[in-house]
Amino acid sequence: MDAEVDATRQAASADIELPLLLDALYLKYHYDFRGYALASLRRRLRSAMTRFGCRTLSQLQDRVLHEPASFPALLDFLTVPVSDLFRDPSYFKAIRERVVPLLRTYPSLKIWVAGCSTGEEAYSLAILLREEGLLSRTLIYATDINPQTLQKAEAGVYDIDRVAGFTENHRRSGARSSLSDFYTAKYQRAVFDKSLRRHIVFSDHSLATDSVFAEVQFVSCRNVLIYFRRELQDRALGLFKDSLCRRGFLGLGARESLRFSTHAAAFTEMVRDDRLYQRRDDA
Amino acid sequence: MLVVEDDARQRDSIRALLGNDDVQITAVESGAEALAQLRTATFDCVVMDLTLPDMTGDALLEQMAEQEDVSFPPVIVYTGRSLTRDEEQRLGRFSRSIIIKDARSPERLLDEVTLFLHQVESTLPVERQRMLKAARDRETALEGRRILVVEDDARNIFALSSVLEPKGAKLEIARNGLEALAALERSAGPSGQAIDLVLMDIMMPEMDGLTATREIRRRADWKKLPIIALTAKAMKDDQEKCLSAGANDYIAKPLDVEKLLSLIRVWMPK
Repeated sequence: MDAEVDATRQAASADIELPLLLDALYLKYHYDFRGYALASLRRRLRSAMTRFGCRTLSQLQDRVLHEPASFPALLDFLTVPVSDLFRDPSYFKAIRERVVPLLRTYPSLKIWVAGCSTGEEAYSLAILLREEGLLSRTLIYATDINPQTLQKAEAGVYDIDRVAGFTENHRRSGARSSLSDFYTAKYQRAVFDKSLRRHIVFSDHSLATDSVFAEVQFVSCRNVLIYFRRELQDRALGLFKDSLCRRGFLGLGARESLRFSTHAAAFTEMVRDDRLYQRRDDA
Repeated sequence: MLVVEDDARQRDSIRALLGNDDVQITAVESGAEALAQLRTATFDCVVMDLTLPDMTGDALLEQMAEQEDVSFPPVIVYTGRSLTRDEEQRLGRFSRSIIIKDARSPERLLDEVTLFLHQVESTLPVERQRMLKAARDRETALEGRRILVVEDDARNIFALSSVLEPKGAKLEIARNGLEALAALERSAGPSGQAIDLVLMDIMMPEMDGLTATREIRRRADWKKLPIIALTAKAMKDDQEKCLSAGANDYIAKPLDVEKLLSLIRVWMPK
């Protein structure tokens, strides 16, 4: 009984501490997590507390405010999404079948992978476009807020144990070649082809605070919006809308949708199951 | 609407695709004929191929832009060949959109034309006003000044040139930091013309704007060259990064044209 009361009290205090911590991170480091979904933030912060040996969020706040060196480690907890090459193969298949034929009509292409994490999505699209003969005229902007994951993304090196899964996904995406054409495996690692990398610009960009930086034909932002609350989702979708050319394409994650967004009317649904949308002319 | 296409079959198929009761199509097969048509009639939109018997599409666009008495409607380039980045950029300064012919291109052409004709209806007076205004708008601050625009986004380049060129500024475009340094080298050369001010995007391929700004500042003769950073990042420390790299000032994207003009006036050497 006592333990139960205690847990409730702790939870109530955590509700006070959480927004304070988020404000502190914003004021000190200019990273804005205030629009993130609370359930996943709480979960991630609990793991961070364990890792830092902090009993409360206040202790964690104290630590991160006064020991700047601890911030990068905390950032890793707050931005965990992991991905795979060609994750959800049917998404990439739908891109090949429905989006690529229209992309062919543009003299040059820009693609924005928002929330690129360690780069899997960006490399997948680069490989797909190389197979479709479009990569040579394409520039992919891959953005994220975590400088450490961006560095990993730039290196394009993945653990060799993951490559079998990548290969299977790639095949199911309607592959026109073998994935092994695109990497070299050595010492338990697979490194992806530098010629893919030349078409990707990895850059720091925050969907919470930054603005549009380029006009693009396609935005792929998967499994990022699920961690955002409604207002921040709308901000991000507004950036995508403003960044897309007329009739440009937007791809979201399997559990994400435009349905409740204020920007829903600006898009038409192209492939419902794979969450592919097209910007309307008059939006 | 004017269609410039030398291949008779393609001309017919474009006519069939785009023509209806509301859209009158004049189709010609050469650049000279196109210019003649433009001198005698007003068109709301031009669809043109790049390979013409008497001149390149490029040359046609330039002549259209140069002839003061010829109207210059929105142009859609419709071409069967792929373009280099340079070609695309050159064409992009005069044409609203470029479509590569492929299985799905008729559909896109129809969309773009419909859109322009619709826009023309609603914005023509504004566009005319702008052109009239442009003629009187040459202010001395920018007249004849050379501005290096380091930016790889076609939409921003289009916006910047449509604001700055009517004011008499000469724009040079570089698409990344490396090209910017090369352009500055050229301008410092014997036959080069000095660049008065640099607008520097931050997020670019090859070499980003911060690195390019630092590189520029390493050269003694370019220490005083005004550089205005164009940044999509809104945080105070991002902007401080621009300044500490050596930019004189910065402006946040999306660009507020009036604000940019004031900034340029402030930093343009007298």
